[in-house]
Amino acid sequence: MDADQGGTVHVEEIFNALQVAVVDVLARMAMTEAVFVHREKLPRFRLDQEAGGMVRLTGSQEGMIGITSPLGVVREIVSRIVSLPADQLTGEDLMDGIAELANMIGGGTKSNAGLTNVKVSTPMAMVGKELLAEWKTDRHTERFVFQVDDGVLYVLAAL
Amino acid sequence: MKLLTIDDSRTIRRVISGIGAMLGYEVLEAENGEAGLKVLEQFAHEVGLVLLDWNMPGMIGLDVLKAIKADRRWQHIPVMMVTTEGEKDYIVKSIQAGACHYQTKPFTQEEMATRIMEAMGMGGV
Repeated sequence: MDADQGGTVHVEEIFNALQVAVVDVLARMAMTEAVFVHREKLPRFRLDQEAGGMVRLTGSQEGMIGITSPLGVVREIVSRIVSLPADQLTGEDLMDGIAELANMIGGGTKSNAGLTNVKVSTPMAMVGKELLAEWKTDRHTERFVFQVDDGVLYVLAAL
Repeated sequence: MKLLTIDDSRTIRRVISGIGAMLGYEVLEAENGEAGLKVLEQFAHEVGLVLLDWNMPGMIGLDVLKAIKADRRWQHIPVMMVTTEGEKDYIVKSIQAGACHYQTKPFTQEEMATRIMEAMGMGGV
């Protein structure tokens, strides 16, 4: 039986599945080690770094999963994924790259948590200085902080 | 022989193009299903494998797969699904519609290279 056919998957299980997905996506696609540092509850779902991407979950589990990070970190990760020098990447490349990262992390979370009856939306992404995007939500929102090389990747979930 | 990657993510198209080039293949790219079918109209006789995303704006991958397998001009071309959807139901639907391989994202370069070589009838690396 799939996990969400026998009842609701506990949010904490999905948070665990999310952390596994982040480490797996970065290791396999970017050959980058993501080390979990800590997590914190947030009052809102906010992408407040220079680059951000997110997907929505609909179905038996509703919510949002997003990533946000300084541009230099995203540039390095995308550079490793596409095997191109970081200084050759355009804004379009970075936007598509962070969108695809959000897509794979969202998809990986769904698979890891056995959320068979959940649909992951196509991703949206933003890149720009002084970026600030916020969604008001009454869902349980947490931010997970990962160390990647010399930078920090923030992963958010509102479930 | 060419490969055709149909994916709305230029990141994934680039990754697959790089792996294909490493294996000695020219890789054609299309950013959606409709564009992919147009590429097939032009290059069907040269394409040895289609690598197809599932979730795309417009035609979803499953519909593109069905369209490929319904047209006798290119129904012989093997299709590999490349998608974040890892559930059994998606895999079964893909195989029933005629896909020969199923690769979930994320993947390592080695995993994808092995899949491509298997699909091209060359065994693993």
